[in-house]
Amino acid sequence: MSQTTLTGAPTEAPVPVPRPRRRRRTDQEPSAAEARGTSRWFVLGVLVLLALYAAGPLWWLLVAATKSDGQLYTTDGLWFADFRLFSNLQTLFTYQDGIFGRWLWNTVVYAGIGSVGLTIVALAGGYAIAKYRYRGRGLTMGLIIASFLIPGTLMIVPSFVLFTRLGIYDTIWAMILPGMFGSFSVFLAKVYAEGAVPTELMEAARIDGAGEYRIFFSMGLRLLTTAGATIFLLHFVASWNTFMWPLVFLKGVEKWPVMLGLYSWLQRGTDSSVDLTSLVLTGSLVSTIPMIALMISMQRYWRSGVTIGSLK
Amino acid sequence: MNTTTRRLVGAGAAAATALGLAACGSGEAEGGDTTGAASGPVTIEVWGWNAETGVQIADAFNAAQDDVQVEYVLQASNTATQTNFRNVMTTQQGIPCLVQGFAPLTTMVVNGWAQDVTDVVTASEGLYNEGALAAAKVADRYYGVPTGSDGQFLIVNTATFEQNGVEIPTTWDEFLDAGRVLKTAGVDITNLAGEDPSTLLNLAQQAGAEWFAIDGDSWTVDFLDDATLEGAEVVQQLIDEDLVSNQTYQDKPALYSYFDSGKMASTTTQWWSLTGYQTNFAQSAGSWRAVQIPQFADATTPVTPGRATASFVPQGCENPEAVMAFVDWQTTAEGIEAGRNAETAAVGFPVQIPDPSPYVEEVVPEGFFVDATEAGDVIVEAQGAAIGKFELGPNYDSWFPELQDQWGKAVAGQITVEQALENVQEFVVGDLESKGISYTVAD
Amino acid sequence: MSTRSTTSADVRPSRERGARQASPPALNRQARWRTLQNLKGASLSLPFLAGFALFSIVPIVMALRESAYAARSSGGLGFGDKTVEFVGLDNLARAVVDTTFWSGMGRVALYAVVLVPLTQVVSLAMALVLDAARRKVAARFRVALLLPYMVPGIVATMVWIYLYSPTVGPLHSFFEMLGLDANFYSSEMVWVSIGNLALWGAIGFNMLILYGALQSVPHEIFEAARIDGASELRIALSIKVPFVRGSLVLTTLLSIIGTLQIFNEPLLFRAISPETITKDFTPALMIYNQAFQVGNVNYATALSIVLAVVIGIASAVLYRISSRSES
Repeated sequence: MSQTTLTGAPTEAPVPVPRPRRRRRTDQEPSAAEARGTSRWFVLGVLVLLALYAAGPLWWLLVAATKSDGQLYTTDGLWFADFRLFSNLQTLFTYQDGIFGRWLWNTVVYAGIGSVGLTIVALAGGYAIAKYRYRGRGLTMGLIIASFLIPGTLMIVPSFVLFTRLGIYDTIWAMILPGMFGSFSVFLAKVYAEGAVPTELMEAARIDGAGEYRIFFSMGLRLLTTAGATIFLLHFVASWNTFMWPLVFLKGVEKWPVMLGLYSWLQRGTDSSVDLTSLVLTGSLVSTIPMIALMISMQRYWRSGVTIGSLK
Repeated sequence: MNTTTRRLVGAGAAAATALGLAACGSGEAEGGDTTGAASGPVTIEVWGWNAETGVQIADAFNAAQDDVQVEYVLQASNTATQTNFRNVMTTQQGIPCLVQGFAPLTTMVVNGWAQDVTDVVTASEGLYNEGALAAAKVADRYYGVPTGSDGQFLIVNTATFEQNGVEIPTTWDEFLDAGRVLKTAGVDITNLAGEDPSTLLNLAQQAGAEWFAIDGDSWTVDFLDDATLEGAEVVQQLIDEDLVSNQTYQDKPALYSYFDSGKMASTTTQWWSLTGYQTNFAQSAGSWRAVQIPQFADATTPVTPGRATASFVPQGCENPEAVMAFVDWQTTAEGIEAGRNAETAAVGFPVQIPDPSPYVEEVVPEGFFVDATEAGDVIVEAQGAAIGKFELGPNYDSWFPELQDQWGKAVAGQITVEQALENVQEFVVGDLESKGISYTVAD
Repeated sequence: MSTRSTTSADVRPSRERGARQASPPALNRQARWRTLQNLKGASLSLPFLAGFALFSIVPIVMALRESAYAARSSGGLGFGDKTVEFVGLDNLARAVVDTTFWSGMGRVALYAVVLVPLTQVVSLAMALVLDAARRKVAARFRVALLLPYMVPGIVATMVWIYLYSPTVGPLHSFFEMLGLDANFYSSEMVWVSIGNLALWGAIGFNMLILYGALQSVPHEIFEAARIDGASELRIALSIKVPFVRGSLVLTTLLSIIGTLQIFNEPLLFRAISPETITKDFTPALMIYNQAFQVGNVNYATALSIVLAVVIGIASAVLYRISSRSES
């Protein structure tokens, strides 16, 4: 069954562009990766168990976000008391002059721009390392792995000095730029590129007269959509959830991203008379929603990859 | 809660800072944010983590006069302030003029961060109570601005005491006796959290201990003086005779439910915890009484433990007078009123002024105490007797985690409290030695 | 336009259009052409290299310098300026013989030996099961499996503090029903509690990486295997897993690094079980304590270097094992 063969006919110019199917013909036709027969039930069973382990604990978060201050600590954590979600939401978006909405917006900007930039840079970098042989390639890989070993906290002070010199302290660029050159994403891209971009295809394209950049932008990127989606999502989530970096590099409270804001609210309860835990929980719930929405809308990038098949 | 829990609560606050003296090219001394123009108002930057009222107080001050403009820069938390401040001192750019106390004042002095502001503070001494002034001093000079401390007092569950026919204790000996009687009924006299050594610090401070004293050009270290040992003895008996529970502060629902259950007869506390208690004590609300914290039998005058981390004026700020004007204004009725929280409609309790009684009604929660007025009186009294200062030495940040470790072991019964103190003293000595600071150990 | 069938990766570079076996001058031309090709490809990594050098290498080098200095007070009460002097490798030497550090190191090493494989197995199981599920089912479950990753650390901590609580949490009573007395706050169970918290937080991330890699497995192989009569489990283990070995090595590497650097979870449990988790319990806790409590950033940096070397060795060993078993 040739479901995922390349459409060998080139659409334009000499580069044979593999066009992945946009949607499966039918949903009943299983993809080759899927389990058949009785294994299906086993797969489903394990899936349910793992999903329970992963998502189950968050039930507490959902329930807690619907509780008022007085009931948060005094009622059973796993079931609802009075349903106060909407009043909590209202408080959330009006507290401290409605800064939560501003924080959300900031986070969207930082995470969005940073992740788009990173995806392009990382895919290009990973692709280069994976598919080409050149001097300094080994050194680059070595430096990348070495950079994993340094704890991030030690880099904060030198980065602070550096950023002040560069003039990006207390600007959005301090949030966006450093993340755009993350070594982990490049490593990931490299690993994906090795598997997803067959050298034969590149050769075929070269023979048809395409230049290296052309090959990358028309063919490589298409084959790396899953990799790109993964890198984008991973960085988006990491960016969304970070608070240490913004804590150091952003001064004004209206520039904070959402997690720093929630962290500051959480800290309020430790030595003052206000306890904002219920706001923090509601806020966490709200801030997860954009990420889930993003995840769902990006589902189509996690489709089964194209096979080499035969270039007929 | 206190410094301990403040440090421990909040996962992942791993802030990288450096004394940064070796950082390359950090010598750009651009100075602080102060404009210092002869004409026109002086602008000062104030750092703090008071999210509710910090900015509104600054705005009100700006509107009330023309000489000083305050810019309140909100920090995310205590530790955030510490991180950011260290960084700013490294690069010497954008140094603020007033910073909320994120660490003991002596630490600020040792690190070369706090300015000697004796000249500007002495003029305003009359506006503040003894404790607030004491907290701002190191070695008899003012290195911080007067900052009030939260006087400790005891709240007791009257229902539990009455049920068991026990009288409310006024001394620590009576406290222990009451505990023994309550134990037979399966009730703990109080909670002793293993992660929080503040109980020991409070007792030592109350007994008049002096762990660090300045003797000329050298520190005298003494964690084992009679006063401390007196306090340690109280704790030791509580632990040995199992008169206490060990509920951790991390698990809030369990903590509140335990406090509320009637199985805990009393707890020491301060004014800002009361709101939380009122919100979360479903059962026992209404049966609590506030009383003066038990005293040591040999005390001549009643004293209340309480320690403030003083706010300070950093080195590099050129307008300490402007800072003092702002701080002084907050002792006025206008200034206090400016701190009224729009959400809760309460003012922040002005713990730095000599007589906070007009404001105590705001902090006594409704329906929590048997007698709200009496509770208010107790709170005011506790503030009046608050000691305010407990010298924590030049290397507090070093030895405090060690104290936490030792305290945890002592509460778990693995070592005695006295042994814990010995171990801490040994650690302090070793640390001072390695840092090149002069000290002697008292005998 | 050219019609060729692909063979294995043995494509000779000399198959230019119309070219025959090359003669030496032609070889030079091809070599140059190939080098130019490689350079062009390499240039794709320039944006990354530039940013990486500026935002990572420079700060790291600046940070590492700290370890070669030491600060000492100028005596007296300690109020004066500190003197900073160059001490070369002294801090490193001290770090290498520091018994407190190495006992912490031993603890996390033992913990890692259990947790790293466990994390990989669970993440891999998740990825495989998701890949083997029907399309619609997978779409629904994907989000659920990723939720632990999407939830920030401070919230995850709050969730598990509640779940672990012996008084108000459900786990204690659940295990009691099974006849086990499981107090997740006790000092005996502290590693289990930490481990579970770390595992739960890590699986979403790992699963996403592995799942992404599984998407590029060529489907003909499955067909062939099924025709040969292989069971689903066999397909999963013998075909899918080897195909994602690159990603698996990556996630294992990250897992090792993260586990040996563990900080947040012990910090949390330090408050809950303070007689067990002391301030130097793990290397990362010790480094943090040295840097921000004791105030000795120079020594903290030296410790970080030692830690990095240990992790580097562990990673290199892993890499070597994985590439050897590949051939």
